[in-house]
Amino acid sequence: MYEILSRKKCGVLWHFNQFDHPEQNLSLLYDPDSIDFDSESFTLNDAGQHIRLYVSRKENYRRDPYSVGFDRSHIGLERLPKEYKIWNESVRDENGVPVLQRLAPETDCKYHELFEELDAADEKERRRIWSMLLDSRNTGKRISAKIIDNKLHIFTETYNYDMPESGEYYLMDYCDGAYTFSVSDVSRFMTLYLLREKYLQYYGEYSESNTRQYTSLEEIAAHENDYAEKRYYEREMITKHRMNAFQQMQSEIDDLRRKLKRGKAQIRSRELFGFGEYAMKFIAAFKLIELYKAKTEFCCEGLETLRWENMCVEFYLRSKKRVEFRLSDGRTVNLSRNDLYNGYELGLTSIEEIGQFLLKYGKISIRACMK
Amino acid sequence: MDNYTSNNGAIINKEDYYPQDSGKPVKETAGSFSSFFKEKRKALCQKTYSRISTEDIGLMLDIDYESFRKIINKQKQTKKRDCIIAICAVLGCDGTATNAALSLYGFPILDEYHRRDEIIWDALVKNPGLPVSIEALNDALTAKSFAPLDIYTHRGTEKKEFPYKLVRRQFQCSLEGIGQFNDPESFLDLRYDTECFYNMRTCMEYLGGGRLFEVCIQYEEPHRDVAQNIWQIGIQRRICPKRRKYILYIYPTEEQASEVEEYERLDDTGKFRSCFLEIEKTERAERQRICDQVNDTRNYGSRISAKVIESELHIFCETYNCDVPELAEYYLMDYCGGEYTLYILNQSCFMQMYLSEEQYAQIYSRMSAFRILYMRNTWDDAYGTNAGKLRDPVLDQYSSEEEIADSVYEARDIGTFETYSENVMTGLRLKAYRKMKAEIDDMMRKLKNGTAHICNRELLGDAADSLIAAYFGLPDIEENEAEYTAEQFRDAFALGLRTVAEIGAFLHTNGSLKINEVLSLQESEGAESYV
Repeated sequence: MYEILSRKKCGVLWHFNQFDHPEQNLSLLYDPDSIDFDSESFTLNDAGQHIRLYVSRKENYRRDPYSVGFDRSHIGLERLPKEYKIWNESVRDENGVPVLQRLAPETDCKYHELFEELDAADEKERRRIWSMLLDSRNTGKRISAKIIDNKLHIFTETYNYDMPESGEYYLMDYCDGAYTFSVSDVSRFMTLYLLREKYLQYYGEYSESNTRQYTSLEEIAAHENDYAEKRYYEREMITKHRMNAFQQMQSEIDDLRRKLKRGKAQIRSRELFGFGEYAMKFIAAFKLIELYKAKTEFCCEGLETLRWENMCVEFYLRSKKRVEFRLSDGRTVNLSRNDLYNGYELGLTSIEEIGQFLLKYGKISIRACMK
Repeated sequence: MDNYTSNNGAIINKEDYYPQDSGKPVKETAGSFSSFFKEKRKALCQKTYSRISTEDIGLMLDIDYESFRKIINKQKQTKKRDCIIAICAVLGCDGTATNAALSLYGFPILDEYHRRDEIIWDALVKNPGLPVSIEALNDALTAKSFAPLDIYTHRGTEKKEFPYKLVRRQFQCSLEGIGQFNDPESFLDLRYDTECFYNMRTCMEYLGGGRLFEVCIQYEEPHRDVAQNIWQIGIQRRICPKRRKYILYIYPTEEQASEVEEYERLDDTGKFRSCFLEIEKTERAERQRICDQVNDTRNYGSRISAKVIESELHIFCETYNCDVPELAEYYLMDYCGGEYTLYILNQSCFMQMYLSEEQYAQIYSRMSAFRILYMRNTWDDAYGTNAGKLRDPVLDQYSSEEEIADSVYEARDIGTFETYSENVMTGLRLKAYRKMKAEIDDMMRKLKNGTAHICNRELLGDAADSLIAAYFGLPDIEENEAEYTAEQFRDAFALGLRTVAEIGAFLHTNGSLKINEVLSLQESEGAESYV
């Protein structure tokens, strides 16, 4: 039998918070996937052996000092399946390193109950953090930009702090030169911010809230009579608030548009890949190919199992520079590795999205879709 | 129960308000509820030298013998906790015995930090060993705006007896408060005083016997003048709170004229009692929703106010830590006596500063732990009222930038705090400290130069002096028995003081009632302590 010596609490190690260059990585700021999470762990004494149990995500390559910048969460890579790890500090390998045993969660082991407990604690903490990110009252006013269906959307949301009793959120979405202002009884920022499947994964089905939409100040004024059923304020007061919010949010969106155009704000920044180092360039390129699930097409299979030095060499020797892809509508598109970088910067999440964008606008840049 | 259940971070910090079993014997009798009942009935008979049967007790509660017997024997278990409380009350049980009974029946015991339970507890222990009538208990509860005992399980049979059919239901609630839009700093003391700025009107229409009845609760304000502005209304409502009236209006028919019946008490409303009860329930829930919104600074972004607490002038502001929302932290900075203190809190405590302890307990049914633990002048004061049992909302507190810079973060047992790097957290704390200090300094300037006011006499117009006199419970501020001049009353009003005793205590502590003089003195005190 074993004895539990200590239990370490789980927590967030790092994520794109507002104090960390908020406008350089707009698409990662509130992304639950980009939160680097430190799991809970148990330290045990099992028949005199010192053992640590923890749950973590698989890494396909051995972590080394040079790859720190490529933590999966930092560049928005989706998370890999979890595994249970048993770190035996009393038994060491030939290099003096404690023996690490990795198990798939379904594998039977005597610590299974403890692993399940750790798993549940992690899940609880994650859910708490996700729910924090869902509500704009927790983050204050927030703004972001995203390519949705090949069109640039810039959107911002705030709680109606002037009339908190009414429990309203204002969301403005800019797309194709039109500003859509909506008033809702729930925070809807994350429905635009996340991909639909990601939203489902984190928050479940989106229930249609009580939402009113307006596209201009005149429309807000014209619909004043709609507020008749409102319980709290005089109609003209509500109109005044909405018009003020419309103008303010419009100017904030225009400001972000200007910044995006000048490169002072970015949906995702390639700075994350650390272009300063020559070797990093190869790893970054490979990581991007991995992110877009195009290892086969770019002839990079199996590189993830190598140490970073060999990965760079193999990548240089084996990988293709340009690949032809067939899109879902039957059209074909030629994408280079640089196109993937540009697509990454725009927050595009698949080869399909990059291809469609390129075919529509002729080049992959934020300016192209802002004309 | 908590108003911050939507804030999951706070859920983790949530600890029970229910007292642990250790302090109170839960099981007074080893047996079942029926044996407990038998024992207590017997004791009551001995005490009153009379023979009180089970049926008599049932009749006291207006429950027929058969049903009552089944409730006691748990053959037909009641779902109403209040029913067991009522039985204990008429049996003359004290709080401890009532808790034993509740426990035996499987209900939560009386929570002394829950205001309604506290009122029940007080009524039960007032005259030890003597029965408490249901009317007396209900009067005690309704006097504090709480629902009377809900004893009966309402079943179909009861509804069938009510001969009217509901045809319309209307609920209206208007908030005419001082919002951000009409100069929020012009009257800080009324800005978040929910009691002063909502109006509700719920009415239900019933059809029966060929007549249409409208049942509604109205709040009468005999001193209200239609020409009053929002600030005058607020002060007037503090002087003379709204009076609740139960109105039954019977619409006219071709043969009969309309009729109006007004009742002062719920118990006088006869067969429409349950309708009025339902209206009360609706309004209570809505009031609670509004008050809960006001109790969380996340709904305001950030907010600032000033108030005299324990004879000292405080300026305080609060904001949510939006930079790291998953920490579920609130920052509250309090300025008093020339010192700035930044509190890191696990719940919003702004309203605990803003309202008096009594008001806070009345509205939120719990004690203002932050105020009791941190705003009392002495430690003895703070720990005078079982404060050890209060949940301390403060995670950290700093009184200078240096203190933040020198601080070491301790790993907490909850949440994500421990894993953030110290530098990041220190940076954030410093940022918050500087920003909030600047906001307080700004407010201080405004209070001194008269562009912000705790209570603004100017806004009360020509009626100012008469309202101020009534506010302090005096016939006139010029000629009165109190030892203060009219000017002093005006200054005391501007400071947000409420009673003549508060004026005396404030003058004794600060030497002046002029807000700019008090603030200047505080500033110089702060500068001296810094040196």
